Order: sequence, then C-alpha cells, then structure tokens
Amino acid sequence: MAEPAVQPVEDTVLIRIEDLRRDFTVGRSTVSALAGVSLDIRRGQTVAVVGESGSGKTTLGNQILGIDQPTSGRILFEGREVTASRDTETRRRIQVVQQSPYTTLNPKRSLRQILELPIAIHSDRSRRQRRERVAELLETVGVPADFMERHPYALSGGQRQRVALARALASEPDVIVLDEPTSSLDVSVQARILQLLVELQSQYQLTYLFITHDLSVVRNIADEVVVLYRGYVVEHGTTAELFARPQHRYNTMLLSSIPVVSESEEALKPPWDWDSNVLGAEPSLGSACPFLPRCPHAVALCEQGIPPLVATTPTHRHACRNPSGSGAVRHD
Amino acid sequence: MNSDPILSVEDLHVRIRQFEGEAHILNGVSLHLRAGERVALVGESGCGKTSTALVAMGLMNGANMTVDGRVMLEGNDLLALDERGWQNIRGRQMSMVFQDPGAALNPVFTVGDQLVTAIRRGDPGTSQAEAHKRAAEALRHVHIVDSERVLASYPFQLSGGLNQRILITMALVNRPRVVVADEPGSALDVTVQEQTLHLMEALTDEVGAAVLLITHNLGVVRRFAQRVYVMYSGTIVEEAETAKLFEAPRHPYTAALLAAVPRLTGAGLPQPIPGHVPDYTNPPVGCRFRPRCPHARDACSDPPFAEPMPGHRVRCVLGS
Repeated sequence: MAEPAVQPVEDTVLIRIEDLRRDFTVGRSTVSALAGVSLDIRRGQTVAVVGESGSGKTTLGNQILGIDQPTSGRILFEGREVTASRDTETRRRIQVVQQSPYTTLNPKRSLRQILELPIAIHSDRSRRQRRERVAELLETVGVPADFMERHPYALSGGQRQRVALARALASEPDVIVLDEPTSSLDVSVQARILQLLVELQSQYQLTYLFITHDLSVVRNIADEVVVLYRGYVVEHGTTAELFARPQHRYNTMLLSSIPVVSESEEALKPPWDWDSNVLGAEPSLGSACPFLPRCPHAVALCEQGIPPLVATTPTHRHACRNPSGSGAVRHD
Repeated sequence: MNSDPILSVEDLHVRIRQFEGEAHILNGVSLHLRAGERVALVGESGCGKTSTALVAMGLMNGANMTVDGRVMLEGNDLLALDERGWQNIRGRQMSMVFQDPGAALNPVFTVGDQLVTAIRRGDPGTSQAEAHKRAAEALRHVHIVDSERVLASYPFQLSGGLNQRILITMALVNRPRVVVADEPGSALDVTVQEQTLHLMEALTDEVGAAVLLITHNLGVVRRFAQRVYVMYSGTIVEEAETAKLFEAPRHPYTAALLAAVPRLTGAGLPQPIPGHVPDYTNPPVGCRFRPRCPHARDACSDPPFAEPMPGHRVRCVLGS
C-alpha cells in the first residue's frame, strides 16, 4: 500500500469513516455486515451506535480498532488513513472495553499482570514504575490498589468491568470503543460504571464509540446517535433530535419498544402499531430498503433501490422514504 | 379482587449447604397468583427470583438442599408430590417459558417433534396426525405464516424471536392454569422483546392462565404486570399493584432500584445503590438491605410486614 495520504480534515473530526463495507461469505451467499457506512466522530464526543443483533454494530467497532479488514472503504484517524495493519502508536490511541468482563479478563493472570502488559508494550517504564502505574490505574477506576495480586475470579462483575476499563486506560488512549460495556451488569452497578465513564471522559478528554442496544442509557450518555439496520446507517443525529423527532420507521419502532418506568417517559415514546408488524422471514432484498420486509408503512417507492441518507437538519439525517417526521406527534 | 389464589407460595425457605457454610437463599418467600392474573417478581441477579420459580415448578432439589414451606396449586401442596405427581402438573397445569430460547428447545429434534410431544402429553388420546395438525394451527395462531416449514425446522435454523414464540406456544398449548416466564425477552432484541410480551399477554388472556413473570427489568414489569413483588436477597421486600409501586415505592430498596434506572427523559445519569448484596451464608440480621439503606435504624433488626394501603405490603419499619 502507498504512503497513507494526509487529508485536510476539520480539526474536530478525530475519526472519519468513508463508505466502509465489510462483506462476509456465508455458504454461497454474501452478507454485508457493513454496507457502506460513512461517519465522522469528533474529538471528545460520545457517539452511540445502536441497532439489533446482526446490524453491524460490533463489526464497525472492530474496524475502528483495526482487528478486522474492510472489504472496501477507509478509515481516517486525524486525517491519516489507518488500516488493520496499523502501527503500535495508533493501536495505543484506540482501545476497547468489551461486553462481558467474565470472558475478557484472563483468569490465570493477576490484575497486576493484566494491567502491566499494555503498560510494558506502550511505554518504557521500569518494573517499579509499572507497578506504581498499575496502582494508580486501579485507584482511578475505583478498585483498591491492594487488589493488585488478586485474580479476576475474586472480583464482582462491576469490579471486573472497572479492571477492563483500567486496562483500556493503561495506554493513555484518545478513543475507547465501548462494546456493550454495561449490558451484563445489574442496573445498580450499571449506574456506577456509567458515572465512572463520564468522569473519565472529562478527566482524560476521551472520545467514546458507545455500542449498545439500550436506548435509555444512550439518551443520558451520548452526544450523537447512529442507528444501524442490517449494515446500513438508517438514521444519525444529535441525541436530542433523534429521540425527539425520529424519522426512519425502524428508529420509531425501536424507540417505541423501550420499556420505561414512568408516565413521563411513556409520553416520549412514539406510537407504533405492534399488531400490524410483519414477522418472520426476512430475505435480503438487495435493491430495496433493508427494513421493507418488517415495515408496516412501506410505500411503492421503498422497493426502488436502497434509500439514500437525506439531511433534515445539518445534524440529523435519515434513510427513509416515508419518514415518521411530519405526520408524527412531536415529542419535545 | 379477593378471589382465591390459584397458586400460592407460603413462607418458602431454601437452604443450601456449601463449602463456605449454609446459604439461606430463600428467606420466607410468600406470594400468590389469582386466576388469569399477571404478576411480576423483580429483583437483581442473585436475589432468588429464579430459585423461587424453580422450587415452585419442582425443578430444584438436591441432597445438599432443604426446602421448607408450601407451594399450593388449587389447594394441593405441590412440595408433597413425588416425581410421578409432578409429571401430571408440569406442562399441563403449570408450564414454564425460559430465558434463552436457543437453550430451552432440544437441538436434536425438530420444532414439530417437540410441539407434537407437548400436545400429546397434555392429551394422550391425540393421534400423531391430529397433534401435528394442532401444532400447525397453534403456530399460525401466533402469526407464524409458513407453519409447515417451521415445524420441519430445527431450532438452530430459526431466529431467537421465532424460537421464543414457539416456546410460548408450547407452554400454552395445553391451556395451563399458571405460566412461569423467566426473563422471556431478555435474550432478545428490544423490538422482539416487545413483540414477545405482546404475544404472552394475548395468549395468556385467551387461555385464562395466570403468569408469574420473572425479570430484572423494571420497565418490563411496568409494561406487563398488574401486580409486583420486589425481591432482595432472598426476601420479598414489597408487594403492590404495578401503578402504585411505580408511583410511590415504599421500600427504600425499591426506591433505590428505580433511581438506578436510566430515564428516557434524559434527566442525567441514574443513581447507583451504594454497597453490595450481602453474603448469603452470613446475611445481616433482620432487614437484609439495612447495611445499604439510608434510613437504617435499630428497629431494622426485626422489620414488620406493614400494609400501608390494602394490597400494598412492605417489609420495612418506615412502611406504615
């Protein structure tokens, strides 16, 4: 590959994703986990990626982390193209926290060993300095430093997730891909981890790509939301806009399905007719809206090609030909 | 309102002997369901929700376990039954929907085989062909259009949502009086979860079955149940009609749990609950929430079960 081209990208854009595509071959057919995704992630923002299982959320995270190759398209990091064969410095700056802290921490290693590894790779600290740094990291995430010689089995789920976060912080990254970081935790523990994430973000000027299916969490933590459906961005906007004025029918369905705990929240959910919903087989249509087989609001136009993303405001775009927007009740 | 309960769990205690000592995992659980009622049992992981359900279904027993208390189904004590007696109850009068539909269906039989088996267990006189016909009808009834293809499929060939739909159909095919549903939508996407709850509601109404819904999700409780039991550390701490519980929770744990839920209003981050769930081998005396409770006081060593309003019961000294 040629020298990565240096592109003039606005200062605030940290990661630019351009028409990213990732196809997987399954038997004789091809599945596009990402079917041409374009997205700008600005420095210091929390960008939430939501969608159901199989929508391509994790694949997108893997592309940004450089642990998977795109079929086509590219990713620019500070204006420079980064690929899966990236240098250690780029790897240092983009880290990950995964869903289950029960499977992502090596059970045979102590917390000290787990946290020392990234420090050793990404800095030239002495053994003693590394140990001091481990203690510091554990304190940062709220785990007592004298837990250092313990193994993951001795920790609760919440504590393990804190250690996973400390491991991501160990290399002093700019970006952390948070792949369902609280999904396996109870709400009372989730609340603590969310608080910690927000504190760390302001303390270290972190940029988060927050992959989740929990829209109530998104509402309170994200600056922007990207809704993926079968590998397509179907809606993207600021959190306030996307919740107040959902456009794409899939987003409307998603918002209307959130289980909430109060009347005031219930009033914010758009209406959706669950009886009308079409079920079951979802053949890939290729040349129509990907949501068409499940959409009760489909019109003839929806069968004519993949709907393009259109902007309704400078910060809100969607790919629906019969959007909820105009006719729907306003929720703001 | 005060019709007789169809299922009642009375003062259930379960103790498990372990290496660390005896874990008192259910500490006097009492709850009841009236005919056709939808009731939720809610709490965080490890609080004893699933254990309660499994004991009530006769699915949890072992040499290292002691069970005290009663489980009454229409006047019969189920805990006195032998395995043969249970066979007449499970799948006929009481049935269960499990959390992970991929794990609850047998992977080596087709959906049709499993559904036919369930139908013929409920009604042994049914012929294979008649049972197959009923299975196909049952699937069409839950909006599975290509029922013959689905009947001929193995669970792994179908989506999670479809498998859950089949499990629910199977649980209700013999028109049981009680269905215990353990986190029926939690393993599924949120839109599919909503469809699953919608279906459960419609089918159980039609059959007249009472539902005990076990979940950790308060939003699901509010959406589905008419009445709620809140469980903490092996104890029921609060019982109320759903609307009343969400409007005005009485127990500090219920209030704390509600405050920990992220809100769609976007009012900011939710509030965590300080402290940890207690150790079951050495739990706090009296109220088990006491070490984490902002209102803890001396009287908490023996909290009464207060009933501030009819039907709203709370195990807390602040209750009345």
